[in-house]
Amino acid sequence: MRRMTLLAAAAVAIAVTAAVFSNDRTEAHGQQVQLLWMSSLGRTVSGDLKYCTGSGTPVYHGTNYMFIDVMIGTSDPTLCTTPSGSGQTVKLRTWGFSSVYHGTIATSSSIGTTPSGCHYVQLGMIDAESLYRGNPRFTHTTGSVGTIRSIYAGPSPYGAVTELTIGSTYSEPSGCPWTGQHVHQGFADITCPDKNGSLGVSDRNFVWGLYDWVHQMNYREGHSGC
Amino acid sequence: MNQRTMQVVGAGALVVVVGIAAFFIASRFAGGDASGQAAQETAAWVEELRDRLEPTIQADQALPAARGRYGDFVIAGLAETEPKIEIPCSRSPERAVTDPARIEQSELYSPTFGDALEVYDCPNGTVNFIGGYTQHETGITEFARYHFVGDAIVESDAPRERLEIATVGGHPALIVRGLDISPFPAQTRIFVIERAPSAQQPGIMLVVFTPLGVDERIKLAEELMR
Repeated sequence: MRRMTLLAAAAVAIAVTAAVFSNDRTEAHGQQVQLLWMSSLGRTVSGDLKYCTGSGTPVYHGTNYMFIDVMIGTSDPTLCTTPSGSGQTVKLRTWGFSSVYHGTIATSSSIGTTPSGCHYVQLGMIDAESLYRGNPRFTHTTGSVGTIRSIYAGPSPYGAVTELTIGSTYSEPSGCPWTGQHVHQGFADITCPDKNGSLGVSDRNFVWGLYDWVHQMNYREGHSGC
Repeated sequence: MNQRTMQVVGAGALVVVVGIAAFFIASRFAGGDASGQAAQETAAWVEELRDRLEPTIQADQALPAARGRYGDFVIAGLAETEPKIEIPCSRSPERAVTDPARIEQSELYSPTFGDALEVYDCPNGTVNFIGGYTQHETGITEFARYHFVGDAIVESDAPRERLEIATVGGHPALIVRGLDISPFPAQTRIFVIERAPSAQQPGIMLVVFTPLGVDERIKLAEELMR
């Protein structure tokens, strides 16, 4: 009986390990698989994935530091029609996939409204090589004007995670076309200008999954293809 | 293999498996919160950047945010409780306009806007908002032209020292300069009252958010009013 218990425990542990390992390995070595995942989930991501090449094809080389936005406590974000309160924490999260490269990224934050009247927290990003890397913008979000903060990206071939709280959700008043509680991360990138409004919607409840990211860029090798 | 050996081997295998599982699970959370490991990994250059820029940020934040009437404008805060500019009818996704003919017939339209536009109308069919963006080598400029009623309320957290009353294309304008903390780019916001509201018709506001320099941004605003 005791032996059976031990064997069962070992089997469970192996299964858990295999699940975690296969997930990370897939994401670390198969960016295309990620895109298929996202596509199959029906996410609003097409705009995000076209930002980097003239042909609309994302090109990733080497190390990828992935920045995502996460909203905690959403109720029905995909509809975006029912105000469901405000004040939920919004975080910037990095996933670093690398066995070599890593870096501390500096951010500054500002708050404001878009031309259409939606409230945002906008970050400035400077990578570990002191290069300006654009402005992730979190729309329908509010926060304090930030001092210079840092967020660490990688390294880990299995996806090291770092989080930085950047604000909280904002229940938009009339004027902003979207009133439901949700968050977008847009990107205005001077090295690869594209539509600033290329937005994805974070609609997960603090799930540790890479299908939750809405923007991805290569902070190490720039935007080849732009 | 006797029972004792089986137990030892089984226990050893379990320890290895649990150890491996713990390693992979831990690796997923390796980054932790920004205040944890990331803070320890903060590179010296971020500290230097912070030391250099923080006094400018602190000095700006120490100044009282401008509030109240300023020229033809009323400056309000960004909080939900602060007054917002009033628009003839709510902008909503259900009222997005995509018909080019209808957009071009609107008094808010300008050929200089380009094609990537966000447009809304009122239930009576009147287009009340057109927004878009333009790309430059140095960044992205967002703009919008929309109807409003009542006071020309501008949401801003900037102190009076970063506000400037100006004239753009013969119309009263408010320029809100971004905080200059290079290498983070400063974004300037320009608000132009092209037409004051009256009992007969709503006012027209043009807003331009741009990283461009002084001369360029004024020129761009004037172009957008054509």
